[in-house]
Amino acid sequence: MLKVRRVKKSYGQVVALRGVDLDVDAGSVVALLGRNGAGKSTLLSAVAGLLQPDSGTIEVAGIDVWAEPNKAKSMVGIAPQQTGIYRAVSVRENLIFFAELAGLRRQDRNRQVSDVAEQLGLTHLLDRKATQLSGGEARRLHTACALVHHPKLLLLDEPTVGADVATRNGLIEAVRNMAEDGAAVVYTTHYLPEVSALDADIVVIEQGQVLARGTQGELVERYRTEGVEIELDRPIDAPPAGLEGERLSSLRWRFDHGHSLADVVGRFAAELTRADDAKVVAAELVRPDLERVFLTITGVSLDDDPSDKEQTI
Amino acid sequence: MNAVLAVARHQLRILKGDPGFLVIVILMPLAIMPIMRRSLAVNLEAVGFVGADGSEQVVPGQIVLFGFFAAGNASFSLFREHGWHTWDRIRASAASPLALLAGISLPWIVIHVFYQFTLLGAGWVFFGLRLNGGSAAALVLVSLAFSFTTVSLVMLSAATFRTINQSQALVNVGAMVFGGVGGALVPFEQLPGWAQTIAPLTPHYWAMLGHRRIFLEAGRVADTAAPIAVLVAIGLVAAGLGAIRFRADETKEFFA
Repeated sequence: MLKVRRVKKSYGQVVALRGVDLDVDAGSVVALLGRNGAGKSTLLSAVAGLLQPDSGTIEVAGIDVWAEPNKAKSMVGIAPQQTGIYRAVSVRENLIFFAELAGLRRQDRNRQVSDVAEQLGLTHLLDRKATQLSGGEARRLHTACALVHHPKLLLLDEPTVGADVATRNGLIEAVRNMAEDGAAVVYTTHYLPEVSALDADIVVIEQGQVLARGTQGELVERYRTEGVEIELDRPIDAPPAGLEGERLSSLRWRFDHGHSLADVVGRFAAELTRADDAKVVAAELVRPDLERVFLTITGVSLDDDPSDKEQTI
Repeated sequence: MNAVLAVARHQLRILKGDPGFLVIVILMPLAIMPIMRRSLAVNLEAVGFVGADGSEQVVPGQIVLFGFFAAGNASFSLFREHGWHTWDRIRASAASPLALLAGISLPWIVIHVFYQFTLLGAGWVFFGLRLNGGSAAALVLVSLAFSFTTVSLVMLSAATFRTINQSQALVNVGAMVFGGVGGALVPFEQLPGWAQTIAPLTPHYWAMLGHRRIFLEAGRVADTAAPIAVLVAIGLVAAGLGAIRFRADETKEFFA
């Protein structure tokens, strides 16, 4: 349904996309996983025809988005990152407008407005002005506006930002239903539990590049990183000889790749604590999870703020 | 065309939820009309329109003077799409950017015509404005042409400027300057010489000329053809320039 090939985009000296390839089949959900500034929103904007790439091609159902924009766009629904709704009119009028804009006739329009409202728990709010909605309700309406014309390709840019748990669950269920009905869904997030809940294919994106793709199970298996984390009672300059570790905080260290819990604790007890008068107060075997997989693939944590590391050509 | 109508209908729904602006922009000229009417009757007599009661100048004059204010919200509508973060959403639809722009502009032409005829009606009811042999069809055409031109100029400012403040400032200054120079406040003959020289550069002059032909000179459609043609030409040029200047992917600031 979606085919992205070698797409590049720069903003002046800042490179946002460095030759991205992406395929999304009908009926599947792809979660774009990356930090803020990784290029997720830029990629979605390019796919939606909002931002022309510097090079590369984007096809929706075989139609080039930039050669035949109107035809391609008619198959796409997008909910951008920022909530975009008409606050001066009712929930129903918001949905009616987006349905009409997609060319739906009155009967289809009314049916699909009712359907999407039910799907996202908005039925009882249909005649309420959007300005009177809570943050979570507004977010649901924001997403509903992208779904109302049953697009073949659905682009959701961090749809659950600021949403409460119920809203988040409702949105995830709606996305899964859309995929079951045959839509291709691209879902950007940096909330890992959502990726698991969606049972999506994961595409890891960092610094404008796709670094890995697979199911959660495949990525964990491929980038397995079991390790040992210890906590000391005082800071040390370096771990004992023979242990290559990563300082997580002033008191916490992590050791990967082949070190057993007993091995790490034993070496600390034997060498370092004697020299630095530091003691191990806690130690645990850390199981691989998606967050660690992301760290292994990208070398950075999802929580890191990349704003001070802008990439330049 | 469907997209244009969908956007236009939606703009009307938004206005329906907050009609206060339209009420105010109708009440303001209505409040000024009785204050200026008698003195303008004297002014009209002084320039040769014996028996004029002032409504022939004050009603069209206030309509034309406030015409830019009445159309100013067309610009506001475009900037509001950015402020509400809905612009990118509708831009991602199958509608072309120019269809979206037309959809935003169209209802304002309708609203502007409504504004003009509400005030003309009020002039007839409260201030004795009569056609006096002038053509009703000509009045409709002059009004339609003025609405088209005014909204086109306002949308040109919206397409050109990056912030709502810049666009609104131009609309507000344009309303007063064009109105004053164009003969909306006093009869054309009583304008200073320099103003009479540049008056034909303003759409307000041509709108006032059309109204004068109808209300003071019993003009028919043919008599108003020139002012109507010039108004339409100005409107077409403004619309064309607006379409050329308009960048759908340009970021606009709703409040700056």
